[in-house]
Amino acid sequence: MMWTVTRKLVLTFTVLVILIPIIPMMLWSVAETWTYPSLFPSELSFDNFTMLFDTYSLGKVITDSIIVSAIVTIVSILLAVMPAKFIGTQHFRGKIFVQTLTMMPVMAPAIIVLFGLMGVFVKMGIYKTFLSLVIAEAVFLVPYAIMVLVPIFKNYDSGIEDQASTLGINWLSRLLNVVLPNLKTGLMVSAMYVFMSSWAAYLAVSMFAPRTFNTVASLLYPAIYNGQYSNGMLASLTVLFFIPSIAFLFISTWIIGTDKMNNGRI
Amino acid sequence: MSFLEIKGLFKTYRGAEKPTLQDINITLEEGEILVLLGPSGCGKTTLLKTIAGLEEQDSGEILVDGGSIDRLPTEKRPISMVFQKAHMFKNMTVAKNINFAPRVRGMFSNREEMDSETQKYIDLVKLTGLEDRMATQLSGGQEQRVSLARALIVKPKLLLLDEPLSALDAGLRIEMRTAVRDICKQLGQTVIFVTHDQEEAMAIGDRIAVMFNGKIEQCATPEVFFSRPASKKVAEFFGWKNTIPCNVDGENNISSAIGNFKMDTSVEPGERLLIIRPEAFSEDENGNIRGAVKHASYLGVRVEYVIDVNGIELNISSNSREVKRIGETISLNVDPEGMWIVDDEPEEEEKVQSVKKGFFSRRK
Repeated sequence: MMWTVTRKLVLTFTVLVILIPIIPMMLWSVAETWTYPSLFPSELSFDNFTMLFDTYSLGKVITDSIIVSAIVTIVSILLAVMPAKFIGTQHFRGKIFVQTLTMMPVMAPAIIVLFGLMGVFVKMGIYKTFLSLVIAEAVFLVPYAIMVLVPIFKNYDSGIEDQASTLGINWLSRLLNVVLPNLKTGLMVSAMYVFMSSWAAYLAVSMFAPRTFNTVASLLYPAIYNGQYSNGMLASLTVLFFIPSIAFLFISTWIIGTDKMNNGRI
Repeated sequence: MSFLEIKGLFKTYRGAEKPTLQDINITLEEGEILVLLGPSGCGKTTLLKTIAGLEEQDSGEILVDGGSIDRLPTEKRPISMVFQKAHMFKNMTVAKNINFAPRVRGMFSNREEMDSETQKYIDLVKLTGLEDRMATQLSGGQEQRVSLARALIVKPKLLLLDEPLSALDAGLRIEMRTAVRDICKQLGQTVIFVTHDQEEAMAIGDRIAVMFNGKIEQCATPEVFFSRPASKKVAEFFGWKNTIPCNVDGENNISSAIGNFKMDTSVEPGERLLIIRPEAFSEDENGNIRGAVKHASYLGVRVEYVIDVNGIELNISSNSREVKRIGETISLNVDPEGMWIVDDEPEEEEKVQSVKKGFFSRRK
């Protein structure tokens, strides 16, 4: 009885802590007029969203943001899989050192690493291109992807690959039907983390994105600091910033939850 | 020409002091079950993995049904393997685990054939009713049955079983070893079965190859191992406990500290070892071997003694219902059928495979 009450209290508190900052933001995004001392907006409309879409081609900005984050996620996961598998499944001297080494790009201050990359990109002639943006984001996100995947590979039964090959199954079928389903949950968690981080990336976008290229984050952060937007427009932009991340989070959680191999556990 | 021929196989792991496989020569006829028996680390699993193509030999040749398979990758070899760990495809049901390999290899011409073949092997390994159960919901014994079925359904020319029963509890092991032998014999399947359990080897194998230090020490039928082991090491592995130095003359007379015997033996005269099975002794008041009981264990159907005969300790297994006390004198006779002469070989370091792990090694 006591436990149930405590649990309900904790749950209510947690929900409130999460929702309290979000509720005013949601209300501001759809408020036509909201003046003191009213507790709620007196009129509701989607004018803020309409204005954003009209003024800043927000449809294109959101599409570009999704494309960049999706490509960075795919690239980062692909680059992280082999080192993570190596670190997770092999025993060798200096393993901890190697694992630490993979985290080096995120240990140094981001601005220093990005300036270093800028020099390299200028020499390569790819500075301020889509490619330079993807590489710059991946440099910071591959280490995290590795960090998430290493424990997954530590628990990975690499014997199933030998088992499948002794049953005459070729490498492509092994990869698609045996290896990937076994790693699905881990890959999903890693991808979720990388996607959300890329979605929220601002510094790399501001330094390496082509001049006409914007992401939702690159619009939102200056808007907050410069004060050029009304409360309503800022709130609408923030809501738009949230939606893809939350959608990705729900999709990933659903995929993990339906994972029959792990009974929904990671 | 035999169905499987392994000729002069050598394999040394990188960084190892000794070869893991040394001059392995094995022949196997179609439908025969060969058991590879030996202590842990003697090279049994390496040999299976080399045959399967998961490890590469340094030299030597492997022929299956007359053709060399040395250059074939694992998935192209006409071989299936069941591992110590069942390695279930956890994202699949029992039925899909079993028909996965033949399905992706295009071995079925239509859905009906796939269903009937799958059911046939499910019934064969006695998993009827569990077709739609997820692989994650199976017991250890059921997992190994699935492993066996999915290895058999691809109709391999050679089936390799690497200690598939070692993770099971004692009762299930006995049940499963009978099942494995029956199923393989029913299908006429050629099998190499690896174990470190001599009882399991005797129960399953048509022939047994005993391995020590990466070498095949003796390859023969189970009866031969029980009655005529080739060396002291093999004898001890098969439960021959009493090893007594003796002298053999040219007329089959054997003299030792526990007495003199005459037995039909073809060994060269000289210093040898007389080995005697514990159950070859029988209590007899007029017996010519007399010793003092040093230790007695009553085990219900038999009594096990350790007795001292002229300074030599003998292990005796007696059917007598009367238990002798410690210090009491016991008189024994010995059945010549339970005695054998082997060479007095120098003690070799038992710890085989002092394989220094390479710089990189796969995590166990």
